Amino acid sequence: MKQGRVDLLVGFLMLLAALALIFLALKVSGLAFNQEIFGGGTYDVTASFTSIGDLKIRAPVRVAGVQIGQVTHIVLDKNYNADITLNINQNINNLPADTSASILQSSLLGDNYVSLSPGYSDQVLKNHSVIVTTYAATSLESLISTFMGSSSNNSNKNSNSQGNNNSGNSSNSGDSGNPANLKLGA
Amino acid sequence: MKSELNAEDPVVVLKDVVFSRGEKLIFKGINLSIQPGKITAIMGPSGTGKTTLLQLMGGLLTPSSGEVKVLGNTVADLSRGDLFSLRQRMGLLFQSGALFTDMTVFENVAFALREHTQLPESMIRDIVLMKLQAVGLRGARNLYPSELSGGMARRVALARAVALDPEILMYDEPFTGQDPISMGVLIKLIKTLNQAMGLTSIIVSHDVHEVCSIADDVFILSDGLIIAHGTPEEILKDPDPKTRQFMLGEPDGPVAFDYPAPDLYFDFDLKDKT
Amino acid sequence: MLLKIFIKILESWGRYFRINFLGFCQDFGASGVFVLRTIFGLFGFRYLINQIYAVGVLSLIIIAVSGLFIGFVLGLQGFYTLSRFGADQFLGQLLALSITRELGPVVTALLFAGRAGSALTSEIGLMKTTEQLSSMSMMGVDPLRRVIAPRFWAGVISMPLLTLIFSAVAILGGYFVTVHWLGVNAGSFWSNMQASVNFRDDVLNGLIKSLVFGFVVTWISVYQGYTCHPTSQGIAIATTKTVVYSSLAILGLDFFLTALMFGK
Repeated sequence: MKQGRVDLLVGFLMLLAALALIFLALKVSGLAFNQEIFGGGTYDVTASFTSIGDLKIRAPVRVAGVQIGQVTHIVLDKNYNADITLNINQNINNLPADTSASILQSSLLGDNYVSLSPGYSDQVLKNHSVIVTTYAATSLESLISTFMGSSSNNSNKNSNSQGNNNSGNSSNSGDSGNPANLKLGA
Repeated sequence: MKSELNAEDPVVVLKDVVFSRGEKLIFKGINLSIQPGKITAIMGPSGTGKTTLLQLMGGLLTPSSGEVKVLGNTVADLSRGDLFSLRQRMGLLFQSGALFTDMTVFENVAFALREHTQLPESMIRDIVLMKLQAVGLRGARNLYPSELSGGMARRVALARAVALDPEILMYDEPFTGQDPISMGVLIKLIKTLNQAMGLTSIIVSHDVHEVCSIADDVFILSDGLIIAHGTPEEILKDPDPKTRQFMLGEPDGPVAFDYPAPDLYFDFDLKDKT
Repeated sequence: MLLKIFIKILESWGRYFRINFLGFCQDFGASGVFVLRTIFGLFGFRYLINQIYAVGVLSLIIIAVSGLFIGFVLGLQGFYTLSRFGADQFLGQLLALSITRELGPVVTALLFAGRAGSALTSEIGLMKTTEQLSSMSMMGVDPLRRVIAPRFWAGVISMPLLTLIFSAVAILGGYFVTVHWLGVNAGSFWSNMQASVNFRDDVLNGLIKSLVFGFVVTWISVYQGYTCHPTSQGIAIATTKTVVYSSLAILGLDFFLTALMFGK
């Protein structure tokens, strides 16, 4: 095994490993060039929520669905509200000062993230600014129970009016125009 | 901490050396000294630990008690660095040659030079070729050890052992299993090297005839003790039965022919027929 | 009578335990001294390159092929199960996370122990048996520095390299099976993967695991070779020990590291 050949193959191994690393970094973990490692600077903004649901550190911060930063700290303040620190990329530096923050879920089974809706103020959010308007996280369970609760109220009202109508016009079939024709409570 | 010798002091001294391997007592109290510039032979029946003696001298083993002094230094007390420095002044020719199988003959001989000296490659090349020439294998420089015959491998190992021009050269059973021609070659080499380089040669062997033809001083080792010491002529005249049996090659004597066994009666079922 | 037998059994257990446990501790301590002397031995760069060739390059084929097939199988099995819940868009995530976090480092290390580790053990064992190590020592050259250390560092360096290649090849293999054969949507495959795989938490942690495995497996391989019985049977026993001890160490350390890194 000639020395030159050995060197060549060892270099080849290193090259393959480097390519694998680049593949894993960019294609697999989606490391973008303006993110953490190569970060071109960021600034911090805080927001206070009454409930943060499932929100974790490193959760994304999005505007119109596009990620602009991530959550870096979650602390409980003396009023028992959750104080979240949002770390936002420097290139997004024109968010109005009255931007609101809400905690949404990315899909039915997905993780929580912070969504910012830009406001109308002339001033912009800077480092250490505070977002005043926040909407707490809504959990799936409370959503479903609200939904079921309101619809069972609706169907009670409808069946009462249905009964009254039927006694009057029997030619009219059940299209009494109630949209929530739910068969709950059956 | 190294110390130096006067010209007439013995090069190697073993004083009351006791050594056991596990539970087996190998040396019960060895006393010997090797004179400079001479060819000294250490002989004895197989299994008496002659190779172990060389390993003790080289510092590969440490004695259970007693002292091993080489070139004025007590081997067991040396630090690792000093021990490695001392070993550069000794050469050990292993029974199998022990060449490095992943290097060529040239690289094997050049090994010690490359590791211990900062000589330029051109000089190393000259030295290696000279050593190979001395053993008659200059043309084999690019062969690998697997391509060499046993005798050739041993000669290359010899060239490698003398690469740093040591003061002591130890041979571990150099004549064992050699054909008559290789034997003659080796004998010639040992003698010439000893004279030409002013070495002290220590040969461990049990080839009585060959050894006696070149040795100046002979020790006989048996049962963990030195039982005889002198010139070859003196040893041959020694009346001690153990020495005589060994030197004359008698099959039966103090070293019995029969391994201890129960009486014939038991094994062959010989009943008393009377 | 029964009591006497019981006491005798206890005695022999005690003796066995004392000899073996103490012997094990002594051995462990000796191997600790061994690895320290090996780590701090300086040697030429040339030797390192040659050993990286022997240990890394020659393992490349088995690592790459295994990675490919593991990727294939993971893709298939993941698809069969996830498609039942209509969740096959998560295949990319499944593949990437299981490979970068676990299968990459662990399988690479196991294969490495079997191929390169056993080769190291038998090579060093053979050098010991043919007295090459002793003769080197007698020439005043420390074999730990000249023979063992380059092989040790070659193993430590090669392991992460091979793990990276394994992970990449496995994910690509999974991609080909799921997207091009089973018809999973390529867009959701990659975007779900990218959203769920964090470079620092997953890829880098997997690499740290592979470094730890590289250190331990190479240490075991080299130590077993160095301390084997200098006979052909001794070499065989040492090689077996290398593979067994390495495998157990890999799996045990993996549990420990996973709990440390990924536990909440």
